[in-house]
Amino acid sequence: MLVTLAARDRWWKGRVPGPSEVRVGVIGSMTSGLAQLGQRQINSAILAAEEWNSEGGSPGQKIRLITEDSGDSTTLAITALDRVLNKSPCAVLGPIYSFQLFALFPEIRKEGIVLISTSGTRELTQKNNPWYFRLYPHDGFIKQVCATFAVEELKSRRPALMCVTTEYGRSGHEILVETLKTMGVTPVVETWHNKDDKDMTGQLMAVKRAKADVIISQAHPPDTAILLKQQRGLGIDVPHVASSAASMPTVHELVGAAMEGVYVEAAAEPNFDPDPRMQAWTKKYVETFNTRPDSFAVLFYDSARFLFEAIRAVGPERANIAAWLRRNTYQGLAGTYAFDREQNGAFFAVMLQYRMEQGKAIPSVAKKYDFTPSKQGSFIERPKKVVIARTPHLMRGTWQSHEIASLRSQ
Amino acid sequence: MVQELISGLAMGCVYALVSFGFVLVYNAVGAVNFAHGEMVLFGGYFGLIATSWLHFPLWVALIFSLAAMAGLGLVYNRVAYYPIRHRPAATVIIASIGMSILLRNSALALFGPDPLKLDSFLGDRVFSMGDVVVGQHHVLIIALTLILFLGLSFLFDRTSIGRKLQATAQDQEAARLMGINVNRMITLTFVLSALLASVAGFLLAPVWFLDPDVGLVVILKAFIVIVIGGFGNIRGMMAGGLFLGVVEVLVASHVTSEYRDVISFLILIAVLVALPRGFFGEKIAQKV
Repeated sequence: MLVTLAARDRWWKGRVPGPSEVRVGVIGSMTSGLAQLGQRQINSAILAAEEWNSEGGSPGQKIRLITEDSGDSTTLAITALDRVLNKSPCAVLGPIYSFQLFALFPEIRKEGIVLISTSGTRELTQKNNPWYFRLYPHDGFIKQVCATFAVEELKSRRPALMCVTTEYGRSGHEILVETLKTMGVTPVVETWHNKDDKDMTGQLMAVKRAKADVIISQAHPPDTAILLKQQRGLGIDVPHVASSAASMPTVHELVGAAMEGVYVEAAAEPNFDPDPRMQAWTKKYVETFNTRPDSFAVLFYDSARFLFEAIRAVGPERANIAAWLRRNTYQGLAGTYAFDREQNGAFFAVMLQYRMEQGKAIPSVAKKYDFTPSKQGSFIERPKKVVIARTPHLMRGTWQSHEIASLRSQ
Repeated sequence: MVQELISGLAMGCVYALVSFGFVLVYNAVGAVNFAHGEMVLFGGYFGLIATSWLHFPLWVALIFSLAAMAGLGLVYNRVAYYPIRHRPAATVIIASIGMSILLRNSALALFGPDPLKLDSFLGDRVFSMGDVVVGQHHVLIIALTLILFLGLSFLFDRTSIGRKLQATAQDQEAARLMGINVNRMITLTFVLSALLASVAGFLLAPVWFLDPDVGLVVILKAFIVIVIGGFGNIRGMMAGGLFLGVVEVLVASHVTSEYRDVISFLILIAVLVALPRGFFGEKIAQKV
């Protein structure tokens, strides 16, 4: 099998893309426990490429995706990148997990190829990697939103922090503590768990003993579900401000009635956004892949489309794509994207609150936050051009009941 | 503290249940079955197939899962053990690793990567006593495990078939000379182990959820329990399971949640150093 794979790679390497196709690498977790997020993102890339090509795409050139599985380890991620690079792509849409992205950085830098991902881990864009672009609100921004919301809106003075021990959890924890400190608040308890942990009783009992008035969690989807469910099971009835994993439909199915009242940070909520374009996209996604998209999926879709716009504008030359991305803004489904000096491209978030209605978790916007460069003008790289103009739709407030009803019937 | 103890005992009961199914096969064939975690996983998944796909009520789903797992135990024995039963133990172990990968990836292909939930017989109901809130499912886990362990003790100590199983586990050649059909006993052991995995999967799924990697976590816990409890007997499995379950909860709650697993493994090493055969390990001399 190894001989076959090596022969295939050699064949690919020697093959120069024809003038009628442009190759884009897509690396994501298609297997392992991490596939919950990865597979949805790959679906988004496939959908974006199919639409792009059917719309005519770049004149005379079709986008061809080279998809590889990064599993749940850095080794698999690096292998996936090697296999993608063997096929001469012009850019790579990367995995969401920061521990894998960090491992890809040296090769990305060496190859001089654009890597776009929707990871939230703050440090990713602080590594001075000119080829890495992030299109998701980073923790430095979104964790400030969580902490501010807990203190200012929920009037918390005794918050508890519950974080996962991955880079994502540690990075978020650091920002949460710093932000709370600036507001004169110190967490009464800080607990940790591993991403594969299945029982959080010990951690939650520590929270209960400390008499916390709000729980702020930073975790991945499976452990978020366990945290939320066990919190209610142990009779801890304080508000919970959860990280974006709790906006995923699969998490809602696991948590069930315990989603009642939970606050969740999110970049977008494709399943309940009343915007017709978003609704149409969600419908198409569900019809195509038989699963509901999440905020990561829609931002990955926007990332793919943003990248395709760059390819259409400047062609497949890697340096030109990077330069174009830095210069331009893009109006996607979830919001407006524009890169700052660190190459963070998304500065919008909503704080959702979920209510259980007829057995389903229905969100409403508790608070909206939008600091995109075009609105604030606080970023260094001023946008010079908006690629696709459309009416801003994000963060309108609570969705209307008839809109929710129409979505429920889908 | 009461709340923590009950949660810890409930988790410990499931660990013990998993460990016992694991040790049954080890004793019978002299090789570790690395696929036992995935067997537990499939115990839950079969329940899910019955409830979500076939829309059976939960008690029918349990029967369905038991029947399906008995079948899986038979198939496992026929495919991954029987053809290589005369080969060295390492071959059998490698075959079990192969089965583990096969089952895990089958789960991924059939059910996808998302965690899935199997309902509990008692739903999400809780017992409240003042400040203490205990999930009824946790109480069910403890009660059912105790009943099962009493039943297993009776089976192995008081019945003819149980003694034959024990005889086969202790010395296959001697058992054969005594007129016991060893192959049949080993097949029965695989089925019994699969049935225990089914019950464990059914009890775990509402609390841990089901995803293709749950088996890995389960088998790691089972290893610790077996080492702590000793490879020999049911009491050891029970004591080891309860010890690990309670220690995990108390360490996370009162000492450090960040290094909970580190402390669990330190305890494992300490037990290995102080009691190399575990709490209730058989003395080697008894086996001569």
